[in-house]
Amino acid sequence: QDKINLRMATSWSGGYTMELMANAYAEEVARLTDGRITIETYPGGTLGSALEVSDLVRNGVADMGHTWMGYDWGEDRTTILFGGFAGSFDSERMLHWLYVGGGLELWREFRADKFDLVSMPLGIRTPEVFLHSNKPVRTLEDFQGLKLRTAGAWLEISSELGAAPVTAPMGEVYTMLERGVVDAVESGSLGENQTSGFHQVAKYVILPGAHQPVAPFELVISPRVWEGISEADRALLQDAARLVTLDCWMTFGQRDAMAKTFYEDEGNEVIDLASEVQKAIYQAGAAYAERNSQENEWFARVWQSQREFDALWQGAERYRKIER
Amino acid sequence: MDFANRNSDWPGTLAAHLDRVTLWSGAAAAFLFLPLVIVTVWEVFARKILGVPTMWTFELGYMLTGTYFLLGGAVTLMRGEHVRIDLVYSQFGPRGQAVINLVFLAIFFLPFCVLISHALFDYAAEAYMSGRTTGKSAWNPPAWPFRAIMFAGFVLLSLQVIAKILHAVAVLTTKERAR
Amino acid sequence: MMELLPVFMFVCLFVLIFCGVQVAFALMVSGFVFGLIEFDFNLRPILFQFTQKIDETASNFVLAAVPLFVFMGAVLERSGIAEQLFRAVQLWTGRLPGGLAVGTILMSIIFAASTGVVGATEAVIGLLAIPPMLRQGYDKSLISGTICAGGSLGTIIPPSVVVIILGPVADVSIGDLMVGMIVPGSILALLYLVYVVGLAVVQPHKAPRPDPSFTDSMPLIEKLSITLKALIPPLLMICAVLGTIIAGVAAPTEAAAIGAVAAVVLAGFYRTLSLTMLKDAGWRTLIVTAMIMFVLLGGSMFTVAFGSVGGITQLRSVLGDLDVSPAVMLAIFLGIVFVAGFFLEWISIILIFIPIFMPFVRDAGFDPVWFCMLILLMVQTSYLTPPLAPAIFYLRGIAPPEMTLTDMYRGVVPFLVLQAICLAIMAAFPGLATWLPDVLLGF
Ligand code: NA
Ligand code: NA
Repeated sequence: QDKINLRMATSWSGGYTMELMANAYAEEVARLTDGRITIETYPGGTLGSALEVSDLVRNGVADMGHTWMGYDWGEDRTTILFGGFAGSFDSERMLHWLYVGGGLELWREFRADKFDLVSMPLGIRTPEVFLHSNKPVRTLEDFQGLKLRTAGAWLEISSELGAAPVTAPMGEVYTMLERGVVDAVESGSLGENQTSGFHQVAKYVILPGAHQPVAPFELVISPRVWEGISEADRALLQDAARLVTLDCWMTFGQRDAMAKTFYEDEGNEVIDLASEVQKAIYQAGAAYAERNSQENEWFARVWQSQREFDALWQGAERYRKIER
Repeated sequence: MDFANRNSDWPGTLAAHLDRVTLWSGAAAAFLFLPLVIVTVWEVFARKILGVPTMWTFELGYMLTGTYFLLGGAVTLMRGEHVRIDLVYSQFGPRGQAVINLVFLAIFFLPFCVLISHALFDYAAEAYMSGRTTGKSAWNPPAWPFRAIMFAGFVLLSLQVIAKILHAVAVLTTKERAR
Repeated sequence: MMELLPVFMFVCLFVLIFCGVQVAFALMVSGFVFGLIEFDFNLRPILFQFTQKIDETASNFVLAAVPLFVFMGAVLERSGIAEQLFRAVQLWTGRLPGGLAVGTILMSIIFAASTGVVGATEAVIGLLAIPPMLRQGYDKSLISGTICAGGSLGTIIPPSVVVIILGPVADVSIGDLMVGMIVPGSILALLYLVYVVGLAVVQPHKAPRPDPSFTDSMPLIEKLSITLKALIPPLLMICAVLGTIIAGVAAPTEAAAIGAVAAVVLAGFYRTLSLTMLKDAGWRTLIVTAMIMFVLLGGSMFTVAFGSVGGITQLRSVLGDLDVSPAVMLAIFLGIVFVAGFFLEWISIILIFIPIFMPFVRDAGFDPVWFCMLILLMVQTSYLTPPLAPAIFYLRGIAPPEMTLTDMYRGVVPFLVLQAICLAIMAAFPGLATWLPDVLLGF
């Protein structure tokens, strides 16, 4: 059988996404194929812009890429339905929708149709920290006028909820939070943010990240490269992606659990967001999705599928959650 | 400009015309400094005094900065201010320097600039056709106008590279005539 | 053959730069040619990579601080405020050996603390300090070294754009880095001060003192009033920048814009504002900014091409095969960054090498914050090491013609020795990098 060497561009310079998704995938593929298929991972920025990995693959700079589909929202908003936003399921439901609820088929068809890319989920993230904040936020009232550094769809949705979102370069976020230019920032998950330093300059850690309940990540492959790979090897590449996604989900969960005491030990005050706020955020996200469904056929199709899945799982807590 | 009255010296005359284009684009770029300051200060005012951060200053701010330096590249080349290590270069006379400039600019840099300009044209055209937006803030404007400016910046740089090549040719040919 | 491409790429860059080709263009062309070879002469991938880099560099709002801080300096200089300031500094530090150089370094520290961009810091300091130093007959090498080294403090004294890029790449808290760099930054600034005073004592002809009758005969009241008049505008301006950052009114980039407005207002207050002056400062700002940004653009293009020809993955595997002690590995890393600093600008250095080094650093059990401090010192050193010495380029952008490139190269050498001393101190005592973050951060 052929030896295959693939070049993978990524959006990450390091951290959990690199370690638990991109690098883990390279290792898993090497293990499953006895080292016959090797994947070289390139940190974000070394082959091209970290946020435009899908373009790098489309233009032949890399054979494959690991990224987050939502980075392409400027090109098509449907990407946020796969990447996760305020109206998404939690990570458990997202995995079910993707792998047994018809999500994967839509995912692959959408990426092929609109972007001419072979694509599949690779890695998934648990809810983000809602805010690292200098002001305590518990209720919708507290959220009014909050100067919040954010990006993407949450910019629009949070301003509808009364916040004053600020766009700023990632590089300045830390200083802005430290000096109080912004009141709060949102970025990665509990475990990831241990190295961000945000907790050192903002007292309150507010949970859970209702604005980003889940974030599936993505493996994109150039169709030209995919065509050159045998049926059997394609199956191996897909199996490895699913395996890594599930492993990644469990590891993130475990690290979040370990991180929660970390923030308390560091002297942060961990605040639970009132359930009315969480619900309001979901409602705003759903309304946002309804609006986009009016203008975008693909968006409407995917949103419809997600809503049907939601309806099917309605009340699943009755048989899945046991009191202790 | 001193070549303008010598019609027989066509490289010099053409170069002078191109220099004028460069100078105008440079002046336009230099002027952009003013809106950059105003926009940036306005964001501070809007956020701190009015309590309402704007949706557009971030993107407008980087676009002004980008336009500023992209359009400024040509005039910087014209004035010979793109930094070079002239330990060796300064040892050559004007003729030697003209040869180095001619060889590098004509064989390597001009084709490079033309190819990049072409790629930037496609880049802008693709954004225009697809209606792609920047996706960098809630303002989220169409991506093509700023990409068109990137294209313009490299076209202007290409023109100034041609002017530099012509100047080098003029130096070499004038010297030969003088002999 | 193909595995030697990364090496040939550097050779090509080296040759072009030494022939006197513009550094920015040399970076672009050598990156382009080798990228093209790597992609089997298929134009699309390499052109797309470069297009993306143009977009990325042009879309970086942090870089807006560059023209804004350059403009501040240009207005200060052209409005005569700088002259006044240095006359005042002369009054007080004049009696010290190397007084003007001491004043310059003190000013550098203040400016470094108010901006994170080296070029801007250096442009302001240089425009302020060069004319009076020249007039007083300072050795041109000493002037150059002082300005270059003082200007480069911008990276090692917080805030620093370098840290903002380095933190995420190294996966180290930016907060720890910002606080951690205070100690090495201070040690370095102190070394600079000790050096210029020492030099002025040993070789007084290199730093002549002002005419003593001028300073001594002046009554204290007059001295104070001159100083106050001269010191207030720049201090107010620094306060407009630093103050708005510290008070949380503005982000660093925004503070730069406020500083630019303050400069114009103050020039108006001192009745030196004119359309000619603004036009003049505007042109200067454009030229210096475009010069800096094109080097940055060229560097990022070279970096992606270097990544494409496999330079990054090769280096990673070569280091992985080495069987040496952690201390030797550390020395190799710093050596690589030092040598890379000859030819590459700092963004490329960080993007190329840090992701390769960090796994080794963590495996060896080194403190990542401490390692980043050593890297920061090397990055700052790279500003001073020829041939690609940004500190010298910035200086050339503002220095009068009588200061030659040779003066500048000679001038930075003693300061390179000081860098080495500081590096040795930091390497020997990791606690210097780590105790301050431990003490200051957290609740
Ligand atoms: Na600084
Ligand atoms: Na250097």
